[in-house]
Amino acid sequence: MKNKDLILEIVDNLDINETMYKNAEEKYKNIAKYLESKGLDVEIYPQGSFRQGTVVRPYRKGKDRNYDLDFICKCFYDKNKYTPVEFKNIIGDILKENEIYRSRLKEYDRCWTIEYADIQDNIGFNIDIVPALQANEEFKKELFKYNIESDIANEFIIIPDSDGKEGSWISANPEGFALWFESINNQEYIDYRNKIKKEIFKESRHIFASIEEIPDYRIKTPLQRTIQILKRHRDIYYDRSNLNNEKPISAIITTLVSYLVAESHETLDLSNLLNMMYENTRGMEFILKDDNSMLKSVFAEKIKRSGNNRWELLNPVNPKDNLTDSWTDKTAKEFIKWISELEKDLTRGESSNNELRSVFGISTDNLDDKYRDIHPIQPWRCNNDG
Amino acid sequence: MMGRNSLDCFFIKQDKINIETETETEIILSGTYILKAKHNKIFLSKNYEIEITINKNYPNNIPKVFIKEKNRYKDYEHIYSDGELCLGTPSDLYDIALKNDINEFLVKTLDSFFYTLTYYYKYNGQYPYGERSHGTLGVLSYWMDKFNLESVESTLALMKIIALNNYRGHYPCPCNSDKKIRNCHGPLILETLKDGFSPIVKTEILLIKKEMSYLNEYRRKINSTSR
Repeated sequence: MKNKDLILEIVDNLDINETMYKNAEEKYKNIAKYLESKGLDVEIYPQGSFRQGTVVRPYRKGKDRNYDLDFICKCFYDKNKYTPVEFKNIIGDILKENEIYRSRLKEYDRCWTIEYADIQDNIGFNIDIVPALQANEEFKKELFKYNIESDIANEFIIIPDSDGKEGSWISANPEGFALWFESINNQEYIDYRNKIKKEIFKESRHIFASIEEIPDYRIKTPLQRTIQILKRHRDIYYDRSNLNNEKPISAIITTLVSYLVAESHETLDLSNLLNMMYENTRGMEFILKDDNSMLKSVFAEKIKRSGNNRWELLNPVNPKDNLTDSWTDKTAKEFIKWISELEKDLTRGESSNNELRSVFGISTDNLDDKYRDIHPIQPWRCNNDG
Repeated sequence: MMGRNSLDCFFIKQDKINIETETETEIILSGTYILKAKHNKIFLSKNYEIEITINKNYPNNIPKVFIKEKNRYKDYEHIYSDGELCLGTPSDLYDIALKNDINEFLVKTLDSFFYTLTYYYKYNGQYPYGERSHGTLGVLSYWMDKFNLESVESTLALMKIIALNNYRGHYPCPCNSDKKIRNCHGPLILETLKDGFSPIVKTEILLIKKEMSYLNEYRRKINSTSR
C-alpha cells in the first residue's frame, strides 16, 4: 500500500488525543462519583467508539465537529417502578442540581448530553450519558436459545426513549458488542500489539517503567485503524454527496470489518484488510441481484437480502437487532459505490498527498501550486441540443 | 486576435495536447486534458480526452470543446449529444474571453468544467458551485445579475438595446426607475456595447425566441388535443 504512512497519520490526527482522552475519562468518572454522592446506585462505562478505540472526529455539513463520547449510566433499579420518561428524569434532575452540569446540559430522546466546548485547541467533546437498567432475567434466558454466551447476555440493558408521553424501553447491549469486538481484536492482534509495545518501550523508557505499563488503548490495531479510515471517509463522502439519509451507521462498519478479521485464516494487515473490504463489497452486487449462490465471501454469509427490498445484518450479540433495518436496495447500492470510491481514493497512483487529505476532509495549507484554483463558472445548457 | 505565444503557454501546462490540424481560420487541438485543481480545499485530479476547435478570430469566436468518450457521460446534462461541452452561457464565456488570452480562457473554462464533472461523478450528482438554469433562464440570469434586476421584462428590454445597438440616452430606462437611461443603466449598457457584446446578445435573444416558439407550439398542441 503506497500511501500507508500518510493514511495512518491522517486517522491518528482525527483520533482523540491522549490529553483529551484522559480529560474525558476524568470527567465521566467524576459524573459517576457525583451521582453516587446523591444516593444513586450507578455504574458508568464507555460504549461505542470510545470503548472500542475507534473514535474519529465527527464531520457534518462541511465542518469538523466536537467529539461525541457515549457512556452508559446503568442504575440498579426495578424497571416496573417507573415509566421510561420518569426514570430518565431521575438522572436528568440530579444532573441539573449541579451548577457545572446544568449549564452544559442538553436533553435528547435517549440521553443527557453534557457539552464541553473547548478542551484543547478549540476542540471539545460532548459526553452523552445514556440512562439504563439491567435487562430482566427472562429476556436473557431467551437469548441463550440463540447461542449467545452468558457473559455477553449478562450485559444486556434497557434504555428509556423519551419520545412520546411516557416513552418506551429499548433493549441494547453495547458492552456485549464491545466484548465481542475486543475478543476478535485481542485474539488476532496480540502479537502485533506486543511488537508495537516493545517499540514504544524502546523509544520512551523514561515514560514507562515496563512494557506492561503501556496501556492497550495506545496501540491501534489494523482492525481499529480500518474502522477509523472507513468511518471518516464515509462521513466526508456522504456529506459531500448529500446522501446523509443513506449513510451506514458505525455499528455496521465495525461489525463487517470485525467479521473479515474473525473469519480470516491469517492475520490481516491494514492493506489486506482494506482489500478484503473492497472485494467483499464488490460481491454485494450479487446479493443485490439475488444471485449469491456461487458467491463465497464473508459478507455473503452475513448479509441477507429478502426479495422485497429489505436487508439483514444481525447485531453479532443481539439476534433481535437488525443493523440494516433501515436499508433499502438504494442504501446498498450507495454503500457499494462509496466503497468503490474509497478504493479509488486510496489506491490511485497519481494523486498527491493533499488530494488524499482532502477526501478525508483535512484542510491543507493550500500551498500546493500544482493544483490550480478554480474560477467557478456555473455550467449551463442550451435547450436546443444540436 | 488569438496570440500564438499564449497558445504555447497552454501547451506547456497541458503537454498531452497537440495541434491536430490547422487551416486559415481554425486550429484544432487534440489530446489529454489533465485536470489538477482545487476549490474550497477539495483537491481533484483526472484526465479527459478532448478535442478543441479554436477560431483564429478569438475572442470574437469562442472555442468549442468536445469530449471523446461522450458515451461515458450520457447522463450528464452539460454535454451535448455530439460530445460538445457546454462551458457556460454565451455571455459568461464572452466575458471571460474578453478579459483573458486563449491560454487563460482554456484553462479557466476547462478547469471549471472538468472540476464540476469530476465532482459530479464522485459525489452523487452534486455541483460544487451550482449550475445555471438551462436554456433561457440561464441566459437571463447572467444579465439579471449584471443589471442587478429581478424583472425578466426589464432585463430583456435592456438586452435588446445591446443586441440592436440602438442606445438612446434620453429614453426612459426600461427598468421602470422613471429615470432616463443615461442616468440609470446607461453607463453599463455603453460599456457592454464597447466590449462588443452585441452579436453575443443577439444570439442569446435568438435562443430565447426559439425556446419561446417551441413553448408556444407546445401550448397550442396541448390546447388543440384537450379541445
